[in-house]
Amino acid sequence: MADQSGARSIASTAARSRATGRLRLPVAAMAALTPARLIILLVYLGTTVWTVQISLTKSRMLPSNEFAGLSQYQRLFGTARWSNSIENVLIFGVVYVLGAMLVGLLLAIAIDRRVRFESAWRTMFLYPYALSFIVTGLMWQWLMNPEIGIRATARAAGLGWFTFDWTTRSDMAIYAVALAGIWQSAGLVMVLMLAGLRGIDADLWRATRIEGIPMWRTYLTIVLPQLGPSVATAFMLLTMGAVRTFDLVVALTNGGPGQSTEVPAKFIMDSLFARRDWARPRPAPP
Amino acid sequence: MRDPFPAAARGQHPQQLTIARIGLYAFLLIAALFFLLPAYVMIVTSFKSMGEIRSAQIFALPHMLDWSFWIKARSSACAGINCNGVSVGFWNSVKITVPATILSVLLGAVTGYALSFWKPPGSKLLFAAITIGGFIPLQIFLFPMVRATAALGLYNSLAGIVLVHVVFGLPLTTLLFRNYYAAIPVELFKAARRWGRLLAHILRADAAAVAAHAGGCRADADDRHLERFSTRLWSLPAATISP
Repeated sequence: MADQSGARSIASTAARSRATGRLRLPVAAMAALTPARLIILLVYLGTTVWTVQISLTKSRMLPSNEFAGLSQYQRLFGTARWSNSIENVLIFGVVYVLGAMLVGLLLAIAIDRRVRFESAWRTMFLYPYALSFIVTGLMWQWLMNPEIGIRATARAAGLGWFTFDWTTRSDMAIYAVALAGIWQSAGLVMVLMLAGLRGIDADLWRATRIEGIPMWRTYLTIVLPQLGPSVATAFMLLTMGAVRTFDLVVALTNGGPGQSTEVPAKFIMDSLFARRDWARPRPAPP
Repeated sequence: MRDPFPAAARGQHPQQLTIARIGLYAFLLIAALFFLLPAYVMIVTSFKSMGEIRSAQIFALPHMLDWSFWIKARSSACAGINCNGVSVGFWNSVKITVPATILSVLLGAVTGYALSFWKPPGSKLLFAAITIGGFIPLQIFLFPMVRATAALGLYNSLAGIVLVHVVFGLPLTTLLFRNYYAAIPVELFKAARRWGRLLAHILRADAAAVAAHAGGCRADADDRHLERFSTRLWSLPAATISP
């Protein structure tokens, strides 16, 4: 039965009011979800099973059906580059997701305060999202290159003390990647948050002004909790992007200096194509 | 296109020009600088000659407009064995983007609708699976997808690439649509149903926003392996500059 789900289901009344509705609705719902089910089963699940199956064999450059147990996984986790990649993607993920959320939220709040030329601001903050990660990586590679970028320009202008050389330092390079990621994705967060802010009742502002509640407290304790769905959506999208990070790293640092910005997705690509090592297990989905 | 943020429901009332207002605009200006800087550098550099680029003044304006890189990109840059510029790749990109975006949005809208309102048995599990799917690096799918599309006879074809885009766009579009519907009061749907305007009316508002989003994603959803067919829609300036 389709109408078991309580208050949020619009089915219940319709199903009760019309005898046919009871039969028709599950069919419609099943039909609507069939493509998604097929994709999940065949592509996502099927591919994962296939991948796991390959990972248990001795395949390297050519497929092999010889069973090898977990030895490929031992090989993987014995690889320093892999554990290094995991560590990097964690640092990147935390800085990138939190940074983009914070910048995006601040931009959305600023724009929501009845500024002039609103659509112009919106466009300026959102356009990076229309660029691919490759282009983003390239642009920031120039800007952050100490020899030609921001540092060189500042020094040429007489600021001899100025230093900005993250991409050349192995302890800072991963933050440089995160900075470029934030630049690209903050606009998306802004749009999602702005949609949430616009859904907030205008009476709220009148009420808080009468009560004399300071603006920052209104945002922190009243508005932010109401943005729950927007925050959740933004968080999910950004986290998905962070786990999958690949092109940005390739264009910006190509994993370097050394292996300081290696990430799992890049490790997979390199194993797949550069080294023809197919069975080295891809990280199984959580 | 319809403005997705109607002016009626704005935050607080406007005030006089206070210090807070000045601070607000200062923040927006600084943010705009941060967001526009890379684009400025890219555009300026695309008009410089090679010698000027090597002089390492990336913020300086070009001495004179040098269109040669743009001309080269348009008509003679090489993508693989094809040396007709990015226009071929550009039209390929359009051919991929338009159907893939339409199909992705439709699929996401229908799936999200069924997941948030109809909730047939197993829909929670399905949504969880779709969400988890969004976290898997696309590179994991490469080898199986190449084999699978080859087996279906879709390898190296437009339909195959569109299919791949729709399949891997599913988590994103579903998530956006589902969360959007989840924020709509059920009463609205009941009223809409009573007035005979079902889904379409409410859909129209969101579809534009999601379509813009999905269009943006198309550009980076593909990967190196597919790159030779689909030169990215937005890579024109980049192609211009790399000599």
